[in-house]
This record gives sequence, structure tokens and C-alpha cells, in this order.
Amino acid sequence: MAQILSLRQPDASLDDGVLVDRALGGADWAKRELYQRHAPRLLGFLTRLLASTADAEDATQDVFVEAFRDLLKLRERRDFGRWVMRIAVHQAHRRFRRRRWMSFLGSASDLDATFSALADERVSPERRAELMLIEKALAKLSTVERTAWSLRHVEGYELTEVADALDISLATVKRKLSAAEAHLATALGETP
Amino acid sequence: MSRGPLKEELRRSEPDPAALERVWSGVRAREQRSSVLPLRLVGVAAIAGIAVVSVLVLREPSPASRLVPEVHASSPVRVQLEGNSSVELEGNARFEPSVNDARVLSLHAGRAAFTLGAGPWVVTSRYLRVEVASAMFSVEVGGETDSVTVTRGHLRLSAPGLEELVLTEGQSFSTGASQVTWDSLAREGDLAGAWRSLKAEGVRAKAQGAAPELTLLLSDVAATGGDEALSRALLSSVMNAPDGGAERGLAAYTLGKRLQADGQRAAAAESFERSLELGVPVELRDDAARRAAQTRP
Repeated sequence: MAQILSLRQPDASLDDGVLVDRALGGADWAKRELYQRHAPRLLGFLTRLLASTADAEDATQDVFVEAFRDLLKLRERRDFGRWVMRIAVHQAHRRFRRRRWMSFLGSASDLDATFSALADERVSPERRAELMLIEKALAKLSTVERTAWSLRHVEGYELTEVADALDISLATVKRKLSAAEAHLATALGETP
Repeated sequence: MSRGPLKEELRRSEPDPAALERVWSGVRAREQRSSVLPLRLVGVAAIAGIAVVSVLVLREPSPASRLVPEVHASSPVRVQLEGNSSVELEGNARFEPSVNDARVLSLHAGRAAFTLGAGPWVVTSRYLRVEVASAMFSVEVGGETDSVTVTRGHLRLSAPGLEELVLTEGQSFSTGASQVTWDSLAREGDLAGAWRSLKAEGVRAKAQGAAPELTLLLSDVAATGGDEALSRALLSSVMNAPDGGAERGLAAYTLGKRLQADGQRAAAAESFERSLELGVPVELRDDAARRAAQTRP
């Protein structure tokens, strides 16, 4: 029973729509449950995308503060998961913009969660080196290209899910992915 | 790039429970702060925010966030916090300020003596959450229980299964897993845990003479346990209770949604209309009206 508030598995039997209703009705436990269901996925995604545990935690906090504040704007309440993913992408883009600005001002970000740092210990040294190259190449992409590539190839999302998370059309997603993949292929010395 | 999602190779990116708890503490603290901020201050704050935005971007981290992310004290250590505040950690204590809010502090293990001023501050442990403006107090995370003792000033305390409590100078409070009750589990969102501890008989027994708000919670517990009939019976009892208060409308609305999901349109329409008559929270009113129109035969 120790750590009951953080280690238990979220209940799946009440759908998100019911929980959103309850949260709007003032039930704090429903917010907690929504958090338990979606925060692990978002925190993992943001850590991999932002390559910084501090930025990822900060962004995840912002996602849920914004989501709970704007819960009323969610039209289809069962779609809470998709909605918070879009907010997460928006928060990640804000942080990329801030990094660019800080970099312009001469201050480097502390990236402690790069692909090579997050890699499983069973990953070979050669693959680790390849991951570093991928990460270096990703840093040169535009924010949308980078996020689209990450959602597709790091998170394993379907194209329609990528489009939904980025709130752009499927055709645009395909173009962005194609550009990102060509860039990465060049960086890795592959034929695009 | 044909080897499947890269995240399968990045196993160290899976969030650990402590990080999730830390983020949740930050979310709650910010929600509570925003709920007490007087509305008229928002405009002033926005203008001030714009004026100092460049300073904020370039500012140094606050003293607490400049600490190493987590302090493991092998011998007594004093950590200076902002606003003339500090915490003294006894040997083996494990303490951590929130990554993005230096005024949210977590004690994971051991004993710590806090001297906090110019609050609000939030201190959390396994089972306790302390909100304080200015006070001296100690928190101990022991084997089975967490405890807090106030040396000076007062603080507000919350814990699973406990209504908020104010502790003043000289007072102590301890709590632990054994104090956790079904309703504290349910209120924290662990409806499956509440169902495991009650089962259908327990839910029925607890619902006898229970307040409408508690009956509504029991209905959610029953739904989680898969006893849909019991859940709906409890919703109906709240909806028809003469002293049901604001929960009557919410119960009718919830019942309507369940009936609508089952394709029982006429019964659903009746429930939604009932919810509008009884009154639902303003946030749900439009949705209830829309659903009533959709399901009306």
C-alpha cells in the first residue's frame, strides 16, 4: 500500500468522457485519474522529443495546467487523450523556440536526455553512435519536421495520428516527413 | 529506419513514479494558486509580465532550483531556500525541490525540519500535503507512517481520507497506509482499489443513508467494478432523493449518458431533460441540452 498515490495502475473502466464530466463538476479525483492515465505517455514523449528531463517535466506540468483550465473548450470529451497530446506538441514547440532564442543569446540548453543517454544498455556502441548522428541531424530540422519525424519514427504513430497531434493536414505531414527523412538519410550517409 | 519505433530502444525514457508525482504536485499547486488570485490582478500581472519578459528569460534559476535536483543527506545538512527559508535534513533524508516550482518541496525519506517564510509553500511526503505561509515545522517519513509537528506558526494539512486540517504550534499529526479508506481511494481516483475493498455488498451498505455526493462516488466505484445495474440504481436514487442538492442534476446527466451509450434514446432524453430541470453545473448545461435534443424521440 505504500506510495498508493503514484504506483497504482489507472482505472480503465470509466472512459475519459465521464472523467472530464466529473472534473467539470468539481471532482478533483477525476482530474487525478485523467493525469494518471495520460501523464506517463506525455512525459515519456516530451522527454524523448526535448532531450531534457527538466524541460519535459516543466512542459508536462504546463500541459495539464492548461488542459484543466480549458477543459470547457473540449468539445468531444472522450478525446481528452488526443487533445492533451496536441497541447503537449504546442508546449514542446514553445520550448524549441525558447531554446533558439537562448542559443542566439549565447546560452546553451542542458540536454541530459539525448537518444544516446536514454538508450537501453543492450544497444550496441555502433547503434549508439548512429543515434547520436540522428539526434544531431534532427536538431537541424524545422520544429514541425522534427516533431513529425519523432511522432512517426520514435513514438510509432500512424500518419493520421501525427496529423492530429500537429493539427495539420495529412498531405502536409507527408511533405514534412519526406523532407525530414531525406535530410536524415543524407546525414546518415544513406541514399534517400 | 525499418526497425520499429525508436522508443523501444530508449527504455530509460520511461517516466518514473517520483517524476510523475513531482509534476502532479506542481499542477495542483498552480491550480490552487490560480484559484485564489483575485481576477482584477490578472490584468495588472499581464502588463507586468510583458514588461519583464526579457528579464524572466535571462534570469538565473531561483536558489532552490539551483540545488542539485535531489538531496540525499548522509549526514545532517542545511539547504538554503529563497525568501530566508531553509530546511535542515537529518542523516539519510531524501529531499527534492520541484523542477519547475521552487516552492513545492518533496520529502521522500527521513526527517527534515523546515523554517519557511514569505509563502505560500507546499511540502509533500508519501501521505501528507502541507500548505504553509510562514512556520517552523518538521516532517518525518517513517516506515509505515508520515508525521508532521509544528514548532511555530500554523499550517494546513491534507492527507488521503482526511478533511483539511489546520495544525498549530505544538500539535502533531501522523497518518499512513492503514488509515486509507475506500472513499479516500476513490477520491484520489483509485476507483478499482475502492471496488476491491468494498465489492457490491460493501457499496450497497455504504450507500445506505449516504450523502448524495458520496452515493455518486459509490456509483462510479460500482461502474468501475463492472456492476452497471448497481451503478445505475445508485444514480437513480441520487436523482430522486428529496435532499439530493446539486448532485441530483449531475446524477440525471450521468444516467442519461449511460442510457444514450446503450441506445436507449427515449430514456436518455428523459434523463437529460430531468438533469436540466434539476440543474447541472454550468459547464455541463449546454452539453445536456444538446444531448436532450439529440435523443428526444
